[in-house]
Amino acid sequence: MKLTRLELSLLRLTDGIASTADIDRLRKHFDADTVDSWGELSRWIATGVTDPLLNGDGKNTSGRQLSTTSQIDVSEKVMERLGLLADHKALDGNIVRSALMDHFVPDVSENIMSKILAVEPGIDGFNQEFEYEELESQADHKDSRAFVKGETDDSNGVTPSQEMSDLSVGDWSFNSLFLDALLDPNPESVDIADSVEKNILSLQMSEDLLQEVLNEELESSDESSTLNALLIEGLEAELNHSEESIETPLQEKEAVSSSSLMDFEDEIPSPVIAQREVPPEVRTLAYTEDVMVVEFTEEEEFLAVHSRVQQQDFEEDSDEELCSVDEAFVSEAMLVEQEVDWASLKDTLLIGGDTNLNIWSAISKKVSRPPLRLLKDDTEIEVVDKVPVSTKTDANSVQQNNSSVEFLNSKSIDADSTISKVSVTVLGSFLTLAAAWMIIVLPSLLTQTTSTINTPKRIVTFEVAEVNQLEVEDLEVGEDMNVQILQGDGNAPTIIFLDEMEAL
Amino acid sequence: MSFVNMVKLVGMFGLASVLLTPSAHAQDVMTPVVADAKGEQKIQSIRLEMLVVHATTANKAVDPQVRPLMKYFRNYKFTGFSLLDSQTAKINDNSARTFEIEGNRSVTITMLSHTEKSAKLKMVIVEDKGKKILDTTVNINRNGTFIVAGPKFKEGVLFLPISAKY
Repeated sequence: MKLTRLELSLLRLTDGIASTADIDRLRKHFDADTVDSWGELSRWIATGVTDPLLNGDGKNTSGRQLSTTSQIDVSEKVMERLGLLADHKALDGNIVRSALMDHFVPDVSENIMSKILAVEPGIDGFNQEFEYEELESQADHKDSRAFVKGETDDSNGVTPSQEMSDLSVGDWSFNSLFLDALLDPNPESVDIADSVEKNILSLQMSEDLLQEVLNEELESSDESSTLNALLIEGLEAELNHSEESIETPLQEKEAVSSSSLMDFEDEIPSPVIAQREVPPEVRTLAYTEDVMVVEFTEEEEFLAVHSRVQQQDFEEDSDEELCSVDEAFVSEAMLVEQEVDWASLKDTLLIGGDTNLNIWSAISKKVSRPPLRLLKDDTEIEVVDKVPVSTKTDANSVQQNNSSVEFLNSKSIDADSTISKVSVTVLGSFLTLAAAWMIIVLPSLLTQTTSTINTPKRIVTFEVAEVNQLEVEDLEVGEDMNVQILQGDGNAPTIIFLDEMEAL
Repeated sequence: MSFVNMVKLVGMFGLASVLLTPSAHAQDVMTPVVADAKGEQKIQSIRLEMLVVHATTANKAVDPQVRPLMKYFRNYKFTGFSLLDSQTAKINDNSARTFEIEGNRSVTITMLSHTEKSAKLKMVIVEDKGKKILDTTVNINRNGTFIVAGPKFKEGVLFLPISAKY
């Protein structure tokens, strides 16, 4: 909402907080009577709201509820009062209207009256309830942190105005605060501007409370106790409000509630965590779906470690303060839940198979190679069964023995030392002959191969001498040819150029 | 002597023979020298080197092996020079050597005589039909070079740099 300086001065004058500059500015545009009338505007409005005509039959002792039978617009009433000053030529009613109401939203008073006319007459106290309900519906719809006043009752089948949902948060705040100012229990002593300003300030404080507390907590450790208390109050209020406002089943979210809280702890300084006492029901938080998905992943990773923190000390930047956390990050309930998850996971991974795996039985099933038979006479083979002893004692020993592999004893080969000596001698001789062949025969083979690879056109490094002298003693050319003897530099090669004449 | 030691000895002998045997290329480079009656050493033969370069205007490619000669070809209209062949031959006095070149031509060079400073060569270029297109006798200084150019080949001509190295 944009106000001109003149309109702002008028509002200040109405609120009684106009400065000398404001009064001087207004006196330049209006005469003295008009300015004085603006000064009395607040009282006129209060009088108009508490007018007997607005109190209906006068039986309503509370005096704060608008009559449903009287169809009087507050703004029209104000303008009617202002009409008494019709002799003041400079007073323009539009200025008052624009100063009281938002330029960009429908007339609040007209909206109120339309709601009043929409309901059946005779329902006592309905207007107030409807307005409170509308405020709450706006708060839920906008996800605003605006305060919720009093207790709410069930609506009587009246749907909120759709036009109000199109308003911005700021416009809604202004209008709602204006309505709240009109519905103040002590209208006679109420200054509308003061009420609006007070509510705006309180609203801003409630909106910025969390951020301010967090910032101050990070910056100053001396005031941590007070700020922590405020922070905890704000957080609990916010969380309780979210819990009340969401009606989705919480059973699905309980699995991630702990992790959500843990993730939330990461964003809060450790002193706050140390002093926090969150009731168990607060853990069943309601967050958005995206946040829950991310925190669920972290919970899986954390549980996979199987570590439980008994006690952790956190040291902040300040060396003076050292906080200890006795609360475990992993609770017993989480471990029990983890065991259940692991059991289901194991069944999932090894679906259709035996969960009590025996590694040896699994390997022996894969081995299908027959026992080694290196010698012809099987009777001379000393077979040693090298199946592990531990597996023999297993319950599945029958299956293991059927598929066990027989290994040859190494002693049967080492016993014949003569064979090994002969093989070493032969191998050494073979290597010696190979080396000799590589030394004697291979170079010649390489030479032959190179000559074969070389092209018959032998590449000649043609070097031209520095001094080239040529004496032509005799020269004959063909009949149809001309010859030119060309000499470049003194020592350059002489060029005998044959020029064949073209046949005519 | 064991078998192993005998094999090692054979290997060492083979290695020594390989290292001590002069290569064929070294034999080609060497020039036989004889002494005359006065005791002065005289070179018995010379080595002829001839390149076959195709000069053309169809392209501008120059063979790297021809680049040392490019400063002598620069005055001609040809832009592309490619090496088609290179031939060498040892030749003694009163002996001839014939080189076959592109275009079914033959170049016959006869060394008539030579001294320490120059060699007298007779050069005859004959086409495939037996037509003699060049018959000349020149006296070239030792290690000197001269160029015979002009025989047509494809879209250009042939340049025949000839050197007498000794």
